[in-house]
Amino acid sequence: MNSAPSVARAMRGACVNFSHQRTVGESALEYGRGIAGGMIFALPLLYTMEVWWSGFLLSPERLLLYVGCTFALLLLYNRFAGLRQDAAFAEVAIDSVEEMGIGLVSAAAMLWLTGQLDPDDGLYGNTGKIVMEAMTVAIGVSVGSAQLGDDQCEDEGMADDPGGSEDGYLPQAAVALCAAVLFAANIAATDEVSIIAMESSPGALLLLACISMIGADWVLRYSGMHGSARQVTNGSPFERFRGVITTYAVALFASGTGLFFFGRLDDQPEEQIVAMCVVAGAPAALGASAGRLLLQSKSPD
Amino acid sequence: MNQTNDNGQKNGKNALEWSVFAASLLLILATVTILAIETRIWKERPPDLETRIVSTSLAEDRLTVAFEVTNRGDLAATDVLVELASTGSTPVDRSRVRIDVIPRRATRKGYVSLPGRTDTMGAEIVTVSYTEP
Repeated sequence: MNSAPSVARAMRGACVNFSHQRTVGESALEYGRGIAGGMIFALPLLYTMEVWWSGFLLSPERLLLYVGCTFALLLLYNRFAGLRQDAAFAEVAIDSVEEMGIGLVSAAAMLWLTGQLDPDDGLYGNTGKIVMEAMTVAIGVSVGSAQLGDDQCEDEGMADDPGGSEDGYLPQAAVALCAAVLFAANIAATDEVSIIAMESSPGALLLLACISMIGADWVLRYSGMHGSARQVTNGSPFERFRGVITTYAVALFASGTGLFFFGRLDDQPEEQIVAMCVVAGAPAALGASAGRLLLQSKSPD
Repeated sequence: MNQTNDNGQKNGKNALEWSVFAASLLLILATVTILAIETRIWKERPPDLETRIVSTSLAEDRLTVAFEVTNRGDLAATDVLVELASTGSTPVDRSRVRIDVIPRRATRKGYVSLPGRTDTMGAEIVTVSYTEP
């Protein structure tokens, strides 16, 4: 098994321009922070039965799509809000691979420790369980690596990059999507979303949607949360309106995607699908606003 | 082509970082390979439950049967109801046990008893019903 050195040689040969140089000890610390972040953000999922079940109830195509979408999300977060925002695409991709690998190992370890990996479930059943848990853990690993470290030992991100545009409209929407997915994933798999959606009147759902939008706007503009002055554009009324609509649209998209990947939208009527997206959209809106600021709390001033 | 930092050192990944990257890449490729193979053989066949008796034991006038249910279909079965019934006696004695879920190609084990029995002969076990999730 000499794969690691051979891959290393291959990557060196590929002339990747790296943004940093760390000692082995610093790297180990960073991985440790990443694992802690993964556990913090994905712990509710690791203890949720519906998520274990979705691993073997869903088709393998959907699990493959879930892996692909999560990798794309990791690339987005690492590019716009991660630890090495000044890195080339190849380095961002390498970091994303590492985070997904750590997510898979961490999720497998937690499932094994809690007795949820059963040889009687077969290779596919256990792989499905690990995949459904690991993708959220991987995003948590990425956030933990970037946000949980000591200020003095981190890379400077885009601080020295005069062309850096992390506070632009699209980068902020991308980070909001990452945060919304992280928040929505924690409830999307549960039966409660379906029950609340089923029992709520259209008026109650409309009220929930309005409160989600107003709440997100208040968090971003009036709460005084760390980073809000830096990350939120206070421009014209149109820009402000666009910000509210974008934040809630991102939240609805994240909740819908999460519900789809956990199989909660299968065989549901259209009205129930909309209601479930609104119900799961409330925490997703919190993620797209407060979570978005949290995920960039270490971005340079 | 590596960049240099402020101390004039070349930037790059250390041995630990490369090892983690290589192991992660292998793990992801293995996961994707397993899912891709499953995608090829997946035909969305309904649950196909095969029930069999593993062992029987008699104690205190109670027949206890250990059984296994294997799902050979592509879809999981939920709320699986397994019934143990006496054969060759009238009236027929029955005992039932419910299993929450049996994933595709997975096996679940269980135990079910028939009270008032003095021998281990004449009992059969069958799957009575299940639902698709």
